[in-house]
Amino acid sequence: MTSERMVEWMDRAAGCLVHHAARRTPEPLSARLEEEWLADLAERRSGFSRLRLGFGCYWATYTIARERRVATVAAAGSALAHAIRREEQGIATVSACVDAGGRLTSDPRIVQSTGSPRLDEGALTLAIAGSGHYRATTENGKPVDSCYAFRIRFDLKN
Amino acid sequence: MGKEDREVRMSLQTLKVLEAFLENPTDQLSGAEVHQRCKLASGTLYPILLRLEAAGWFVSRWESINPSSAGRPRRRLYRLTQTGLKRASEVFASFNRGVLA
Repeated sequence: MTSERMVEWMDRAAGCLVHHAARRTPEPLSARLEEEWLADLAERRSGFSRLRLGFGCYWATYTIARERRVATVAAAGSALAHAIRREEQGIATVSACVDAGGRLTSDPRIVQSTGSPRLDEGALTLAIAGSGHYRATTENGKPVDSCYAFRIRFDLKN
Repeated sequence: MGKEDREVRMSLQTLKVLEAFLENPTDQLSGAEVHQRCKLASGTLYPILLRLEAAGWFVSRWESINPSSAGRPRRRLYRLTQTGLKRASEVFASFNRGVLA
């Protein structure tokens, strides 16, 4: 492989990595990070540096997604802490729409309330935290965009 | 993301990012420029920038250029907020005293 072709290959690989990495980040960050990382990519001079950026962005997605999940679960924990003190309980039915990758395509909503605003808030926060981990519906063996409802049961004791 | 002043976990990498901004606190820097100054890998740098922005230490905005006439994509520019400047200065001051904030 000539050096020119090698650089061309690294450029293309770096571009693909940045695109895929940005799409793996939680909404609403995806579009922003894709544009931001592509701007960064355009400023890297050598093919090797561009490839390193691509891999780095991919690595960044894991950190960003993990921190988002931790923050979301902590927020749910705060709402649920009040509910635990009151020993509230109930079953929330949540509706969620996900893409083929198991990521939420819109905000989940409460279909059937628990009767407690705190538990409903906790259910929604947990449903949002699950983005990227939902199992998409399959058609002819291929994952497709879909919406479905599931239940979250709260049986909290102080 | 919330803009409230939240606690930020200090690491050597976070200090390097803050140091890059404290060279001239009014500068607005893109991710690529921060990378050039502190030599952090993008996998480390971008989560730190987002974390500091979420904590209210930074604000960011898109560069106001027309990408087609400029011939390059617009950059996302980060700037220290007053809170960020105050907190970052405190961190470095305590660090110089031998106590990491």
